[in-house]
Amino acid sequence: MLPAKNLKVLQQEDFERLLNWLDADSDRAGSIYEKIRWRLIAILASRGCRFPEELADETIDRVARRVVDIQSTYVGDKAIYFLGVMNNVHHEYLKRPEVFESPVFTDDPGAKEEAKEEIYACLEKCLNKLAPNSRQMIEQYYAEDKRAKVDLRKRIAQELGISFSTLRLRALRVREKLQACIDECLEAGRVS
Amino acid sequence: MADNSEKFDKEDSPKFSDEMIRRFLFGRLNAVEQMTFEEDLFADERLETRVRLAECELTDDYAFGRLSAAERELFEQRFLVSTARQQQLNVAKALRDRFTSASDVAQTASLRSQPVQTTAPSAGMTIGERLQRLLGLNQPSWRLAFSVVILILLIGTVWSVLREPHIRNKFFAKRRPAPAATPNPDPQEAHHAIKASPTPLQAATPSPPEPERPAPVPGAVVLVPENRYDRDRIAQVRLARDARDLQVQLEFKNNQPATYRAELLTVAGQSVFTEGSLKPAAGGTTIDFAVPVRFVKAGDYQVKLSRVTNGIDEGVATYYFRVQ
Repeated sequence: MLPAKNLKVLQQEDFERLLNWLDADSDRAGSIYEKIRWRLIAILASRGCRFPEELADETIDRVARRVVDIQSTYVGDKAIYFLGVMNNVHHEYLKRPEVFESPVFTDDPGAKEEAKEEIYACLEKCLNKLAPNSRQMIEQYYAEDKRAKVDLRKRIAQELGISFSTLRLRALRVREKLQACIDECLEAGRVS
Repeated sequence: MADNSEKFDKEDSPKFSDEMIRRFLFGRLNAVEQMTFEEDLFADERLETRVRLAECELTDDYAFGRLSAAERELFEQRFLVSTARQQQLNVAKALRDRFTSASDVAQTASLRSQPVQTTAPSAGMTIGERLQRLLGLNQPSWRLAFSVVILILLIGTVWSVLREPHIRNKFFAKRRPAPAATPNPDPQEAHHAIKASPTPLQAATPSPPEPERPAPVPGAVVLVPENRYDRDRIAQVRLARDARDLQVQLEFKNNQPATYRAELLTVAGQSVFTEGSLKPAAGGTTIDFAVPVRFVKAGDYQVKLSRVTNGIDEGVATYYFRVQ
């Protein structure tokens, strides 16, 4: 989710102050914001929270409101400050009745065909944007044959002259790039 | 593609193993591990990168059906809780569909450059599959011919049965339904008919009363393993006034020395509290642990007891209780 998406819960002024506190350079500040939000969500999910995104945004919202008071005196890693506020938010969440509700998300096999088609179209676009060697590697890496897969990946690693674990990391990095590219593609599709 | 994956590859003994990262994603770290991990995740960029990649890998493993049943459940209950991860799963499924159908092409392209084919084309086939392939039985014309032969044989058999009265009577007599009061047991049940299908008299006999649970002691509860959550038979406990902890004793069958981990969850599966490195009490059939009362309020809970061996959790028993 882009930072701008949270404007509805944050006052614009508070939000800009928060970004400025994180870094004077707006691009870097946006990147730091995204990292912090991702970490908060990962931790809250790991703690078994059913609504990690909501709590992460609540955490950021609270920090943003406090920046005006702490920015002149706060010393240390700013990201750690979020962790402390998140602990309070999580503690309050544990007292909420929704804690006892069933999981929000389920793996829906009947996901809308239209959404699937969009993802497939974006996947093709993003595959075409990859460098040829990256594309070849990812196609080979994901070629699915349960019996021969491990052998296949070892062979790909040998072909490329790299270790098996390096191949895994490279493939996962390409996978991560694909994910980001597809997210952007879908976002653009929704906007247009 | 320029990347620095080799840097990670050669990193000397990272503080957190890949297995530990996966346990973090599954919400299966103990309290101490969780706290350390969280702090490091905020301070260590490389750990963040590894966790991001591990998320991708875990999602792919789920989409490609490479997780065990228990891991799939954890994935759905504990991992798939954000829209970003849902989206990640959608992309993983798209990759699966895209590359599974193209796998033959990709493998062929890869194998083309190989001087020696390491895997025979028929490797992994069953004997039946090999025979089919040898005799060409997978050809459509053969399939059609076999279908016709089987149909003719079937019609012939039915015709024979209908023409011979003694065969017909024998056949239909055996198929006559049994009286409703004495259901026809299957072969396995027949050896244990009294246990498996009680007679009407037995069914009418009131079952012996459930053994009464001991009266609840405020602030302490003794739990026995349960196969399922039964809200009507659940153990109950009242929190002691001014007590800091709820004392829980778990009874279990101990068959090997190990350390154990107890996780307190709501019945809906929401993790509330975890205690690791637990050792069985003297006698080896109970484990005691304390839950700070600030983590519990009135409601139904479950406790999952796991045996921890080499960092891997293995479920031992589940317990249920109600805080009044």
